[in-house]
Amino acid sequence: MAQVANDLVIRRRGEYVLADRLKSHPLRHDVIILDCPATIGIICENAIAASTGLLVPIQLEMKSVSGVADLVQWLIGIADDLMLDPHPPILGLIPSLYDNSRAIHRQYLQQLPEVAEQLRVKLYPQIRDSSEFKNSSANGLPLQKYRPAHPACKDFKTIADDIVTLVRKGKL
Amino acid sequence: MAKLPKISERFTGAIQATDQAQRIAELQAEVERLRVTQSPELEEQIEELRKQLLAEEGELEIAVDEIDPNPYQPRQTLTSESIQTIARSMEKDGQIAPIIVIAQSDRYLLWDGQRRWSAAKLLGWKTLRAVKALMPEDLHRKALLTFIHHEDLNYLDKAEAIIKELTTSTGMLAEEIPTVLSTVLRRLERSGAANQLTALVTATTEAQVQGVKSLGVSENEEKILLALLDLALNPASVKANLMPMLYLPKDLKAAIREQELKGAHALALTVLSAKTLKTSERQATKERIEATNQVIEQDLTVPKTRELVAKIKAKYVKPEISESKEVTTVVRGVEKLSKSVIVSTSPEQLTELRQILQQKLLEIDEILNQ
Repeated sequence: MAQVANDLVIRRRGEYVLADRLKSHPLRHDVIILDCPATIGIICENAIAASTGLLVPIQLEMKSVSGVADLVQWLIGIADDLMLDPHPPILGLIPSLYDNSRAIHRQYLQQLPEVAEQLRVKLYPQIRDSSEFKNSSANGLPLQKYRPAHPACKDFKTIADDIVTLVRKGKL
Repeated sequence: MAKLPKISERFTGAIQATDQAQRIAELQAEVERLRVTQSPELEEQIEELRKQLLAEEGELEIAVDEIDPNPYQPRQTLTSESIQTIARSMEKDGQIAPIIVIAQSDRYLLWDGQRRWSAAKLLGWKTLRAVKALMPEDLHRKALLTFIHHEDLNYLDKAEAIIKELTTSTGMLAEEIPTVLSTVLRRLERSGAANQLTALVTATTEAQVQGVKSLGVSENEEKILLALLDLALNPASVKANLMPMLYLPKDLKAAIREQELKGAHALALTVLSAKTLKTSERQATKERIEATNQVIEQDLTVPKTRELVAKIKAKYVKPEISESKEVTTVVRGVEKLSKSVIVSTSPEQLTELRQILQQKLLEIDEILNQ
């Protein structure tokens, strides 16, 4: 992956490699989710240039919060720099790895709606933390397939419904 | 235990960037809309505004005396006490939030920060930190208000902007508005209620509604009058000064837009029409264009322009020949001069009379023989 990032830098249209490929070789899927590294770099820029909407997971800890704050600001600049038309909108912030037993999580979750409103961004219901995510990931399966009855599966419902609606309306 | 820092503080930059992006997007949309509908001058001004906005990099230092207060500031009365309070705080801690201004030619219109601006003047500060040219949500209406009350805007653009606003607010056709307006104003003048209407310009909206209702006007007339009053415009002045602009011939409209001919001059020059000069359309246009250029080049005043127009008009139209009251009076006077009066008059005075009469006879012969 590090090598890819290095190659992209010297490549023609380096930031648009993924977007260009997806355009010339369209996939038959309704939705493609590109999981991005938690660092801002050319890999991330490729994902943004190729995307039609962004979901921003946010952990309710200061480090992640700070990262998201910078990310939102950076996104506006990068969409301009890459001359993306239209700019891929942020579909929503998703509080993730939420642990209700932690005071800081509860406290920051309470503060998030105001921030989201000021950012004019939707705030999705939180996704709870669970070790089952790690287990399902180790088995290469989504939680919904690995443990369909797990309560955390329901946490994704609003997001999934929204994405389905957007796809149906042709807005993704 | 130390208190947890709030996450909102961490988002200040992101929120500012979002707001700015949003405003730029909104302004661009507004620019596109205005572009389609407004006059070229306005387009230029907005283009300029856009350039500034795009070039904009956050905060600026703006000279306090380059800022004009916002006439639409809802909080018109600021107590000196509240200004004192802000001034004390600014003296102690400095200016905390930047004021918001809108660039207007080479000056700035204060959009937000009336108290800080007044306080800065009080403190003798030379500059304030400001963010520039950000868009209020109802830019169109506010821009219209700003523009129609802006002295630099020419009458023609004002007239067109007002008609446009009236068509939106009343749902009437652009062509029927001037007619309806002049009809109602003529009627009000005849009934002596015109002053009542003018007095409503500065009244509250409620008083305007009540006042117009009491004038007993039709539904359409009421809509137009209220819309004008709502824009703080005097309907009578709109009718007299702005509406005639709409009917100016093309060459005069062009001169207003391209050569900065003033509205009053243009009105004086409209006299030079085919109808008044009793000549062809082409000849009249030629005379009008020549006169217009002379007015612009020599920067003639309105009375001088009228003189010029009268001179040109005289070339085409003979002065009207009609019964003259003065002649009638003289004829009667001469008839009264009976023989008995003449007999008792001194020879000197009679000589003088003879001289004057002979002189006048020569002049009359000259004119009659032409």
